Amino acid sequence: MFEFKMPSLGADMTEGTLTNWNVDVGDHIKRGEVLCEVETSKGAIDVEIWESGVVTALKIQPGDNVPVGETIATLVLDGAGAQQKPGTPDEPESTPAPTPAPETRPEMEVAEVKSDAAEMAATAKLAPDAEAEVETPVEAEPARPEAAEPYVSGKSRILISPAARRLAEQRGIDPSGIKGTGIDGSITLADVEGAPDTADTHRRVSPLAKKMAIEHGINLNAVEGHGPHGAVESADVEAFFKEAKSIKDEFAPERKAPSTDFQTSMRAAIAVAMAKSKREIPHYYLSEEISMHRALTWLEERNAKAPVSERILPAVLLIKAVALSTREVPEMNGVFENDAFTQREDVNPGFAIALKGGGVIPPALFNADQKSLSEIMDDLKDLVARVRRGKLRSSEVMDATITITSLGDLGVNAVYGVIYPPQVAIVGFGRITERIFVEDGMIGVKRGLTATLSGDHRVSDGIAGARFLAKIRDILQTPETL
Amino acid sequence: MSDELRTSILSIIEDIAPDGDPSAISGDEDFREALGLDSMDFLGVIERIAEVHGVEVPEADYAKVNTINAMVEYLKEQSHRS
Repeated sequence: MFEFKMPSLGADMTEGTLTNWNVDVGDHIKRGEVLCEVETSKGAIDVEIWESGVVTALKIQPGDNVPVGETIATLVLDGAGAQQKPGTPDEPESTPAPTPAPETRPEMEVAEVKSDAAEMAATAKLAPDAEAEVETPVEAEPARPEAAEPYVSGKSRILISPAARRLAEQRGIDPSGIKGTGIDGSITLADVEGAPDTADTHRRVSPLAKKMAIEHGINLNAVEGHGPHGAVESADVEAFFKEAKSIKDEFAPERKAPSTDFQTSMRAAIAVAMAKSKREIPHYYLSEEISMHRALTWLEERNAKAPVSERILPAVLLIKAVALSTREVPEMNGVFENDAFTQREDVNPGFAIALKGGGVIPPALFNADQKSLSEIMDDLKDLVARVRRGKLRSSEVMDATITITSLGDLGVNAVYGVIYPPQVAIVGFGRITERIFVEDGMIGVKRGLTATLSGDHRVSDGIAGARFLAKIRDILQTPETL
Repeated sequence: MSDELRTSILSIIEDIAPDGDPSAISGDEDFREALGLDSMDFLGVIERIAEVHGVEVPEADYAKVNTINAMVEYLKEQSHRS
């Protein structure tokens, strides 16, 4: 009996709402087909199944909201045919393992400016001595699964704004004793101002208990002490924590993320993904000036001879060049999960697409190395249209093997992207401008762009990265081979 | 006649670029910039105009149709030719 579980379609996704079943009980479904449609912060996603079999039960109804990892359908798989998706040995039953922090395909933010903001949010929470004024990012922290408890956990730090912390210090108040009324229970300035001067000084709290309380994010005021003279000891904190956790677990499925609308949750998803990326992936950065003279001249000639509907954008040349280059430098194409790199045979570049109203999503263009430029252009047009409509497939959202971001239209010279976990590389293309190139000792002015690579240093090094960018550059000098 | 053309162009642009109101921008403003259209969006507009008005604007003429007024003029000229 195969249990199909609600997949995680983004780092921030803790639950999903089923909007539609595409099958009935008794239907046979083939791998790659769409099983159902789920509403997420990225819009409605068509969820594909990677097994073939007959549906034996549909456990939930359209409109039901269930946690990631919960079984929503059962199937009897076809005979010996049930294979895991190639290249993803870590996915049990072909759906991502629903760990407490499901972070398979978080949103991607590609502009340097924006990633700095998210990075600030991340470092502010993680660096106990961060001096940056981060009142806003603290309050913007999205509800992640591990933050379902009201206070931040695991970082030896209570969620408190710097201004509030300073006031607490001034007043000699222990912040762990203050109840936070900000988002996710964070302690605001107002909370500290309103806190009583002597917070529980008549009740002794053991140092270990205090440490545990901070670690678990527990308000000591709420903990009953059973030590001598009502002192609070570590055992008390432990017991309180266990009880609080079990209550939370019981009610967790009903507790919705506090995001108020699509944009907020999208922004939250981006923040989580980018923070994770910067926290875990040691990035290295390379750049290369690429002459686009031959490529653009070739393209212009080709487009002039074709009808409008067959026109190809320069971005498509870039996509294919990147895809082909991964064959030379395969350490750029794959995923890093569970401390190991898995190289992928299929080359599925995620292409960053800006959403109107804010937010960026890099859904995958499949097998770009094997497709013609026209096919890639058609795929891209279709993808952009569906992104704008909020109608993507789960594989597009989860299965990119490398990402490309092209901010040329916006007019920036270069973009150094943040790698989108669990991928290991992101290629950035800036604006095409007239630049000075030297060829055979002669100076010429030609159109060109700056290409960049952000690579995961656990998987590749600068030499491999340089080879990769050089290959992209070389391919773009012979556009007819694309 | 020119009004119908203008209305048609505005509605095409509005369809493709859901953000922002094309009728709110001046006819002499670069509508790509004003409405934040990227190259894919702009190509979509050109394609739709070809479908609806039978005029294919070649890439070489893109600069001649960067404002709504210019687009109207260009299309009028092209239809008179054919």
